[in-house]
Amino acid sequence: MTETFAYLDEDSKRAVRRTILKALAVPGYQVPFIAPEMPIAYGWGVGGMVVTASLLGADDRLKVTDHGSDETVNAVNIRAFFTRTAGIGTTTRTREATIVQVRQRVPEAELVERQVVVYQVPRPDPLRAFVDSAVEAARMHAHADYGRVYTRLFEEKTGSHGAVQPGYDYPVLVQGRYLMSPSPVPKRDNVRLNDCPAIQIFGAARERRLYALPPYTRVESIAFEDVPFDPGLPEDGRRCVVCGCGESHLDHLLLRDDGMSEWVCSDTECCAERADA
Amino acid sequence: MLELPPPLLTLDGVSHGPRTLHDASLSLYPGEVLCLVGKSGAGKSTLLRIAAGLLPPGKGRALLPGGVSLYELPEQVLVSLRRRRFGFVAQDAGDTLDMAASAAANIAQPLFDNGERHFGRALAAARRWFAALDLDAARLGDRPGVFSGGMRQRLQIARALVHGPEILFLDEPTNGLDTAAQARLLTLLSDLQRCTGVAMLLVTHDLRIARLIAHRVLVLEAGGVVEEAPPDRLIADPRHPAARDLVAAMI
Ligand SMILES: [Zn+2]
Repeated sequence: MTETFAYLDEDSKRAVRRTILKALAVPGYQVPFIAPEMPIAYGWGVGGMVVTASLLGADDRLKVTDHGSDETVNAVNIRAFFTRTAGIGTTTRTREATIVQVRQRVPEAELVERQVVVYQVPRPDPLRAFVDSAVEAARMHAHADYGRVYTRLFEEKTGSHGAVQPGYDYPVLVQGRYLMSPSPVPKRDNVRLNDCPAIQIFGAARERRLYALPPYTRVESIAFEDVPFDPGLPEDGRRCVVCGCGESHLDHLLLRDDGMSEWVCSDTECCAERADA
Repeated sequence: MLELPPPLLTLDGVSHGPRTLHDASLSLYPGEVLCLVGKSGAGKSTLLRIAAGLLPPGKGRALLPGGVSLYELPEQVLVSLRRRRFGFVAQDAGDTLDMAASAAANIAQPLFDNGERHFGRALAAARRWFAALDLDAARLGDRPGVFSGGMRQRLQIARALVHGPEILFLDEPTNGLDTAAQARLLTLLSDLQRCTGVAMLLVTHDLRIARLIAHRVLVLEAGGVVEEAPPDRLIADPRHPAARDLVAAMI
C-alpha cells in the first residue's frame, strides 16, 4: 500500500479544500459536504479529521484536544494518526500550533491570525431541533426565518414547564445572518468564537455539512435585544484542584470518599500553565 | 352615494376539485365581517383556505389591493405576507396552536415570526392580548392542553390578532362549545372587531352566529355562492332554497 501524506489522496483533499473555501465565503452557511472515508467510525471526529487532513502541510504543527484535554484517548489517537501518516510535528501548546483540532471546547489560550481551529460537529443544524425536515430547515435558513428560535427562547423565560436551553451547543447568529451551531461547546465558550483572529472550520461528516468562520467574524449568541446573553459563568466557590483557578471552565473530576465533588480545569494546557506559574 | 373603499381581498371565480368549489367569487371590504354560511360540504372551508393563502385554487385568482395575485407570488413572499397581514383561527385549536409550548409563547410566536426580537415588548403584547380575550393572566405559562375548549379558541384568536393583521379568517370558531361559551366568544369577537377594525371572514353552518356578528352573509351551496345579503334581510326574506333551509334550521 502506498502511503499518501495525511492519509487522503490529493483529489479528495482538493475537494475538501474547495468546500472549505465555499464555507469561508458565506460565513455560518452549511455547505453540503461528502467526507472521504477515514479509518475511524463516525462520532469519533471524521468531519474534523478530514478537514485537518486536507489542510496539513509538512511544516504544520498540530494540537488536538477533546473536552479541552490533550491527553484523552481520542486526542492522543488523532495526534498519533497524523504523526504516522504525515510525519508532522505535534504540540500541546496552542501558540506553537498552526492547526488546532478540537471537540467540545473552544481553546482557552489566545488564538492568532496564522492559525486554523477545526471543530468536530455531531449536529450541524440548530433548526433541526425545531423541524424534522431538512428541506424545511434549508428554506428557513435561506430566508433567515428564525422566529421559532426566539419563540423557544421566550418560552423558556415565561413557561412554567421550563424547557431549559442546554448549557452547551447554544446557537449563534453569524454576521447577523446565519443561525449556526457552535458544536457542543459550553455556552460560555460562544463568546470566544466572536471576532476571533484564527480561521474556524466546523466539519460534520455524518450529517454531511461543513461551515466556517473567517477571521474576525461577528458571532453573537441568540438573545433578545433587551435581555443579554447569559454565558452561564461558574458557580461560586468551585476551584480547580490542580491550579486553584475558579474562573476557567471546570469539569467534574471524581467523588471523594466523603462524597464531595472535585473540579478540574477542562483545558489542560491552560491549567498546566497556571499550575507551573 | 358613498364611495366604497377598494376591497382588501377579492376572490375571482375560484374553483377547487371536481365538485368542492365552482366559480365562486367574493370581495371583503376593510372593517367588514363577512360570513360564509352553508351546510357541511357546501365548500365554505375550502373557500376560506383559498382566501387565506393556504390553498391554491384550481382555477381563478385571489387578489389583494393593487392587483397583487396571491398565488402568483413566490412561495416565501406569500408566507411572509400571510404572516404579516392575515390571522387564522381554525375549528380545531390543535391546527394552529403548539400544544407543547406555553400560552404566552403561542401568542407571541407571530411577533417573532414577523421579526420581533424584544422580550419585554413581546411579553407585554402577550399579556395585553391574554387580557383582551378574557384569559386569566396567572395561566400565561400553562400549556393549551390544560385549557377548556372555549379558552383554547380565545387563545387562538389572541394569537391570530397579536401582530395586527388586516384580515382575520375564522373556520367555525364556536364549534364544540356550549351555548354560553359560544355567546361569550362571539361578543368578544364583535368587540375586538370594533376596536381593532380588522376585517373578518368567518365560516359557519349556523345562521344564528352570522346574525350576531356579520355585516354581510354569503350563502354557499354545492360549491357555489347562491345568495348574498345582510343577515337581517336574509333571515326575513331568504330567496334561494338553500338559504330557506338555513333559516329553517335556526329554530
Ligand atoms: Zn486548573
